Order: sequence, then structure tokens, then C-alpha cells
Amino acid sequence: MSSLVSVDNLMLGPFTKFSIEIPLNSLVFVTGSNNSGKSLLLKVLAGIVNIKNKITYDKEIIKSDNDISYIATLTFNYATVLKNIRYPLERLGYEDDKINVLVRDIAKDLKITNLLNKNIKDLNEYEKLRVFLASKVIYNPKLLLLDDPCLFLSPLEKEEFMGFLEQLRTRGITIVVSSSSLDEVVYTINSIIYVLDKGMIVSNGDMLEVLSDDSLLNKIGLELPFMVDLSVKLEYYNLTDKINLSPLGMVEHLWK
Amino acid sequence: MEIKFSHVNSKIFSDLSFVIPKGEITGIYGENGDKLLRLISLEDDSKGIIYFNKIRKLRRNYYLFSKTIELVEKRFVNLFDIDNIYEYFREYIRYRKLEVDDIDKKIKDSLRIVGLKVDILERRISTLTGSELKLLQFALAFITNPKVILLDEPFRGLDLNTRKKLIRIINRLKDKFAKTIVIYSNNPNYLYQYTDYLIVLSNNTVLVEGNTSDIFFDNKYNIKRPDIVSFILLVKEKKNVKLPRRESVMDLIKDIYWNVK
Repeated sequence: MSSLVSVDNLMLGPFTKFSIEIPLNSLVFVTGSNNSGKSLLLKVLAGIVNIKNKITYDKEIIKSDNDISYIATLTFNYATVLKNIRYPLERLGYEDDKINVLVRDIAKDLKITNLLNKNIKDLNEYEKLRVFLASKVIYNPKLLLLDDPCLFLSPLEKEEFMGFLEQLRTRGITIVVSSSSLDEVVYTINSIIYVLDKGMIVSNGDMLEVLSDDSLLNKIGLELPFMVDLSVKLEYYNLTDKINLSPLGMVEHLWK
Repeated sequence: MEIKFSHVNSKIFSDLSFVIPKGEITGIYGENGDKLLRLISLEDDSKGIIYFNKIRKLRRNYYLFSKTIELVEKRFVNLFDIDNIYEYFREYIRYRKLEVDDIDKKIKDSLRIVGLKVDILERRISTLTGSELKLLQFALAFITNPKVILLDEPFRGLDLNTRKKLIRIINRLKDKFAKTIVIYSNNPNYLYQYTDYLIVLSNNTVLVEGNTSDIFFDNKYNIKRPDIVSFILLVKEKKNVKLPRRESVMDLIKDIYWNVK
């Protein structure tokens, strides 16, 4: 797989000789304990931090700044939901008819159609996140960076939100998400995880592979999602031989 | 301090009645729980009867109660547009109208409670990481020496070690200084682990209140339960095997081991 963006030999803050490659059309999680450098890494990938020649984008795909969307804090420029979503397209000079179609589609995808005429101040955390996301992906960027989007979401909301990200990925958007918890990771398919500790990659690979190393994750202060934790510990007791994310499946397996 | 709401109405809630017991950590669960914290902090207007330690809140004694309550917001909000941390503390003390003899000592004591080093005072707020900001919020809250501390999603974004540190601080405040602690979280795992008493909201009123573990283990309520509780209840439902109530996965594993062996 070719890489969309790569960082080579970065020397900045906690990072010394740090390198990472983000494959095209992947869903990548960057996780780690507090102060591990995950938020800073996202800023670096977004090109917000000036690091000169250390970062390389695939120029065929990322042609301008508009191809990169970075989401950290949710700040809205307008009072109504609709205006916030329409504005990026108006700024890029889209025709009105085209705008209406795009707004309708993204609103349907992110289940915010019923929010379009509301005021931002009347929305809850999760609604705000989806509205902001809509305004940041409506012009189809190629690289989407989200700094701990699930921070204030409930477990059920996390699960649904991960589904939305998977859906955006099928539109050809490469997504990098930083996360302070591992809970949301289990709701994705084929995602890649990078675990950072003090500016270094201490583990990386596909989701279940990384999550099964419980001693490493616990050591750096990350908590395993319940079903992963249960599976891994049951393995020690020879009561199961693989990670089972379904509680019902696990119960049937144990009391067969 | 015990807090009692009796048939309280507000813009959002209707007919709220509940008691927040003193000397325990109370959890709030359910939609708009963060708004309920605002109501308890007397920040939002309400109609109805509210008691603090059996004394009824009235317009003329309102100030007496509101200054003993501190709300720690889910995100840090810079109230004064001051970036230097030492200056921020000083302004905060002025803003809360605190009478302090030795300001510097007061600030240092507050930092020590939360385990922040004194040299943080020379740093700028905009350079702090997420967890440092959370601890700074706590340090600011303690400086007023409140009787009631309301915490809006306090554990979010904190790794296990920082969370454990925070829980140690909260427990010490409860045990040694008899503070009333109220935690709102939308994560049932945290509420199950860290709170003794629970108030569950539904349809903008109180669905149930009582012992946290009893509520989560009661099948009657249609709420998202802590993962470990759901699992124990699932085993009961599917296999008719009653496992004991547990908080840690390690204990649960031992129960399972003895049961299926």
C-alpha cells in the first residue's frame, strides 16, 4: 500500500528521530497515555506545525490545503447548523444547487438531517461533533485528522460514530484519529493502531494484535476494553484461545 | 453537606426530587446530567424547594450556599483571557472574592493537593496538555475550599494512572475533609467503579436513586449498564448461573474459572 503522508526523522517536543507512514485509504488510531505526544502528532500530520522537510504528502492526491481537514476543538462560526455546513462550499464557490445536494447527502450519512434548522447552542456534545464533522468533510478532503473526537461520547455514541468514520473511508478519505481510550477502537474493522509513549511508537499493527498485548498497554496506563480484557485474561486460564468481542458468544463458549 | 431537592422544576427538568447524601460520592447518570449539575450549583434558575443541610435555600441566603459549591467543568474555560498560570490563580482568587492572607501559600497548597509541581506557575495555560489542564481545574476548584464539589465528566481523556491519582484525591477529600462529591458521567463503567450512590435521570426527571451497585444490577431499568454488570447478568439470563457482583475483571475471571471447571 502506498502512503498518503509520511513523517521522517522528526525532532520536536517529545519526538526524537520519529517516523511514521499513513497508508492511503486507511483508518489509523494514534493512542497513548497522557503527554505521549498524540495530539502533537496530529498537528504535525495536518501541517499546522512547521517542520520543514520532515513531512511528505502524496502530491497526486493532496494538492492543496483544502485536501486536509483537521478537527480538534469544535468552534462554530455561525449560529445555525445549516449555515455552518454550507459555508465551506460557499467559500469554494460551489453552485447553490450543488450545495443543496451535498448538504442533503452528508446530513443523511451523519444522521443530522433533523438538526439542520436548529441553533448550535441547542445541540448536545455528540450532535455538535457530527455537525462539525459534516462541515469538515463536505468538500471531500483526502485526509481527515480528528483529535480525540470520542472524548465526551457515551459508549453507544462511540460505536455509532465509528460506523460513520468507516462510511467516510469508503468515500476515499484517509482518516487518522487520536484517542485517549481504547474503547472506541473495537468498533472498527481493519483499523491500524499506533501506540505512543513519551514520543515513541511502542506498538503498532492491526487492532486485535495490538490490543492483545495487555501487559504493555497497562504499563503505559491504557485500559483494555472490557471484552478484550476478559478474553486476554481467560486465555491465561486456558478457558479461551482467542479474543471474542461478543459477550453472548463468549458466554456460549464458556458454558458450552 | 446534604443536598435535598423537592419537586423542583426548571427550564429542562420537571418535578425533580432526590437527596444527595453527605459523606459519599454520588453519581449522576442519564441525559442532561451535566445540566443537573448546573442546577445544583445554583447557576441555573429553578422553582421548587431546595435544602442544604436541612436549611432551605431562599433568595436572601442564596449567596451563602452558592459560594460553598464549586463546579469543575468538563473543559477548561479561560474566564479572564490570562495565559500565565500564576496570574490566572491570582485573578481567580479576586474573582471569587476570597479573603486570603498568604496568596502564594494558598496557591502552592492547592497545587500540592492535586500533585502539580510549583514550576507550573511559570508556564502558560495554552501550552498545557489535556491532563495537566484537568489537574489545574481541580487546583483552582480547591482554592475556594468548597463544601460541595461537582464534577462534570472528570475522567475524560485521562489515562489509567492519572485517573487513579484523581480518584485518590477525590476519596481523600471525601474521607478526610468530609466534602460532598457529585460526579456526572455518561460512562457507566466509571460510575460503577467510583460512586457509592446514584441518581439516574430519564425523560428529564429522576428515574431512580439509590445504591449504585443495586441500581445497575436491577433488571427493571432500561439503561446502559457497566460492561462487567451486563456480562454477569447475561450469564444469569442465558445459563441460569448466578455469579457474585464484581468490580474487577480479575475477580470475575476467578468466578468463571471455578464455575466452568
